[in-house]
Amino acid sequence: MSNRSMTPRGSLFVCLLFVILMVTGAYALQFSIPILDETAENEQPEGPWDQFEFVFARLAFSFPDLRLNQGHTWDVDWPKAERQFLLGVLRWTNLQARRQEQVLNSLDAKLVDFPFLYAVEVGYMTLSDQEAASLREYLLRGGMLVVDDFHGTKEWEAFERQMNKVFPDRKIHDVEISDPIFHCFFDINEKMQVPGLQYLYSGRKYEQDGITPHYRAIYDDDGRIMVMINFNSDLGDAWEWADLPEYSEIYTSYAYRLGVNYIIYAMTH
Amino acid sequence: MWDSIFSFLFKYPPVAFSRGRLTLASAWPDWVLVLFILLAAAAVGIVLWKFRPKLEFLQKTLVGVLQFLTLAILLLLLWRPSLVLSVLVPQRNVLAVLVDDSSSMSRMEGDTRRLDEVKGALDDAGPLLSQLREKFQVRLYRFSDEVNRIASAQELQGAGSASHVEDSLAKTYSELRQLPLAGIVVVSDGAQNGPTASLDAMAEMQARRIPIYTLGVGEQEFDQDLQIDDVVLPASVLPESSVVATVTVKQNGFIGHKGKLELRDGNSILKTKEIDFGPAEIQTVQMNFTPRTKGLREFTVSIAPLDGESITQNNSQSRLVEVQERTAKVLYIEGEPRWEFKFIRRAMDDDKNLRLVSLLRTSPNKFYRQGVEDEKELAEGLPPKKELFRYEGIVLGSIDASFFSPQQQEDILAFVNRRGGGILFLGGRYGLGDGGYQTSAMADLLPLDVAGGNSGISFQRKPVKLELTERGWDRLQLADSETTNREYWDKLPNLSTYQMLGEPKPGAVVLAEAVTPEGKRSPVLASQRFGRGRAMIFGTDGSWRWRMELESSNRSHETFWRQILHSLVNDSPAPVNISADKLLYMDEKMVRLTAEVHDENFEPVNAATAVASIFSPDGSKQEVILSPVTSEAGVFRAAWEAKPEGVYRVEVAARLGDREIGKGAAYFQRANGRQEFFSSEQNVSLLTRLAEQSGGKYFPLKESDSLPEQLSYSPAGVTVPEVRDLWDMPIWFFLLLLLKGTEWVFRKRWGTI
Repeated sequence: MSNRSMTPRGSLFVCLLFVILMVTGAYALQFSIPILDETAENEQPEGPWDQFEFVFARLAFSFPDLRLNQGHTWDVDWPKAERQFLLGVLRWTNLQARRQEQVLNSLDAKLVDFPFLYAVEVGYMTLSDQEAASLREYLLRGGMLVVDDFHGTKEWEAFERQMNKVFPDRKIHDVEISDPIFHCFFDINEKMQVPGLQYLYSGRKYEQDGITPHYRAIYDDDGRIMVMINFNSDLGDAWEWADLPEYSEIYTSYAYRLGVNYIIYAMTH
Repeated sequence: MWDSIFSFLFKYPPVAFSRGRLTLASAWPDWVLVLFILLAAAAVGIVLWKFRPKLEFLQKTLVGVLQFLTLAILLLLLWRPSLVLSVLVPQRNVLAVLVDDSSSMSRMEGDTRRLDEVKGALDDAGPLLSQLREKFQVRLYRFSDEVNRIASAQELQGAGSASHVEDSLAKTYSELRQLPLAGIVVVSDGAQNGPTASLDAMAEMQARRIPIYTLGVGEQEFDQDLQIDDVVLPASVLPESSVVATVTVKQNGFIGHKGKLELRDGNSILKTKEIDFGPAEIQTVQMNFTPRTKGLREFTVSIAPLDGESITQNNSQSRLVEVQERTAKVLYIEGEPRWEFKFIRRAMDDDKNLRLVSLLRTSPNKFYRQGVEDEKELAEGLPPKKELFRYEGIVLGSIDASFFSPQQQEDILAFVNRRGGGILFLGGRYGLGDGGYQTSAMADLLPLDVAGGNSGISFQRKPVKLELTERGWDRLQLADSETTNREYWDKLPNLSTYQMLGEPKPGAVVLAEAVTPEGKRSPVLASQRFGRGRAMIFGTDGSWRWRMELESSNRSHETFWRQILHSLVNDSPAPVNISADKLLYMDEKMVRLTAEVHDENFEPVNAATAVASIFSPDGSKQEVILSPVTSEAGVFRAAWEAKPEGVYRVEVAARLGDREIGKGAAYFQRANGRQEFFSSEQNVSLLTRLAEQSGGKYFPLKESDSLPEQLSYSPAGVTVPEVRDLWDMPIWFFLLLLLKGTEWVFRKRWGTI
């Protein structure tokens, strides 16, 4: 019987392999894709979504290039942002809203049951022709999409390309501060830049080269907003970190007021 | 036939007995006759019981009765039974003969015209006129829309544009009232289409007991004919409204056939409908359509002629409808943000003729106004009555009835009842029964019983299918073509919610039902008239699913909501308005105008002056002052004669002192020579009624030979009393023969002779 012992070179190799595996695994975890568990949605104590007048719907979209899209996926701030925001909606309005959101992709047949749709990180959104057509039809029927949390020239250009697939014939316009969307519930008279959480450690309110906030929209033929665009601003973070003492109440308050206005606008226009 | 038999047996016609008085003309007193009859009875009894022992009791009784009756009749004849009559003095009385000269008399029946038949009967050399002229001074007239005296029936042309039978009678009577008028003979097909006669003239004729004899001309019923009897349409509507034409179709001889109705706007076909002819002579058909072209439009309903039809000119009728260029305001009060609210607003966004002004409660203390004209509109919530009445419709959404103060609830009630506005109650968490409307001052407005469900909550977030009722199919349409319309309704997705609602109230109409997946039905859309206005219920807030689940190019949701909201306001009257009693006057000239004058609170203004300006088709303008109607508050009327054919516009201006209260306008139309083709079969009922009301009689023209004798017993005119013996009536002879013959037969059978 032979007594085989590992050589120092072998031990080093095993250790190296272990370290490589650990590092690779840790890196891969950053790209984990949340799996939508739709059945879980109806198990909440509040009851099924169809027993509520308003359900906050978040758009889940594909992000084919994992390497490039690191940290820029549809589920950023999900689900805490909307759940915290919905508490405010219920507090301020008499809307019969569900406290829990619904996540949908643009090809979901149920999309038409939710005429209000919220999407983040749209600078990294890639829509297939079929998805673009589905979204276009949704918006033309009367649905409204609010996009949030994307910044800088590069992300704008990517987003604009996707919107061109949805509406090749419609332009994106700046929304005037006099537009009803800023006044239908709260009177908002300023276009404020709402920073993401990063401003707490970076000290900068903007991300990338998105220094100036823009509130833009795609309108329908009757002058109603179909797509509301928060560019260089991050309402989602302001909702999500509303309970963080370090995050300024000024931004949280603005984000809540603007979010409520978006919902009331969607339900009145 | 029966008259002839009667005249043979009783010597004189029935009219002589009806007009005369029976008497006994003998100089001997009547009691002597009674005494002799009693003696005769006694004599018969004694002879039978004393000298006829062979007969049994029953036989004696039978023979006794027969012999007694024989003797009694003979005794009666000895007392000279007679008839006392007032007999017209020959040539001292006037007889007016009125002959219908309207174009319906030119109608061919078989090989001859109706008029030729009349000319033959009234020929100067013919027996009828000769006999009449022996007794009367006969005056011959022709009538259509006017009356003219003629020398001979040969002057008749059958070209008059109308038949004013009763009016002509009254005019003739007025002309002859100073003369000893023995009677009037009317020769007509009875196709009257003009004004009815003045009641005074007809009553005076009846008081003077002037009989009218009518001679009916023409077939009493066509073998085979189709006719559009009537078309009822609103005088004015908003563009894009669903308008219902109520068409009355009459048929003879086409049972089991199918007919094709067509509705046209000018030359373009808006709607077609196939109908089956059953045993009913008359059927009512509803045709709905959507007028899209603004302005004054002429809509025509026609039915395709079938083989063998007698007359085809009565297969269509037209009506004017003003498709108005105005904007009606509807106030929508919503108690909470709802998708239904958003999508109703969107459906109405492109509608230039209806402005939806909304007040949405977004939080307990916040309201969001949309569609307002200026900053002041709805700034204080539901406006006071005066401003509220400027709207033409109200929509109440998911909002508790208690949101409105008792005064506001009364104002909403008055908005419908007095102002004549329309109200729509929507389903919702705080709507209808769950909003406490059934116990509010607005409860009477609800077309349905809205008590809550078993659990106390009637609003359900469960999918239901909306299915139209038969009345709903008549009132609502998603597409012009019948087939496409059905397809669109079938294609509608489920409503996502419904309110459990009860039975319709008396007078309410259920237009649609909600059908649960288990097949349970309950009303979901209903309407009713209330006071001067109308009220509707749509017991759901889930119709927005139609918009989101159907393709963006499908306009079913928008069409549905426009029709619903237009139906609320189409009939909402202006404070000052005017209308003619008909949209189309066929061969009629007298137009009756009615104006309603209200102030801005819709309170009637009796002290106002109302002047109508009538713009005739020939370009002339005439002003007519309307008189207040004492029995109806705020109502003013006038009658005016419209002469030229064409479209008239009438405008009314109401003033109180120097202040103008308001203005209103309407249209009506006159057409000549149309009515003649409608109901042109002989109108026996009219002719019979005219005759019998006056104590005269109706005869078909073919039986006119008995007319002279009938007329000779007229109670009117210059008469002398005349006693006519009745003892020589053949009936006596037959009675005596019958009595003695019966006795002989019995006694022969018994072997006693």
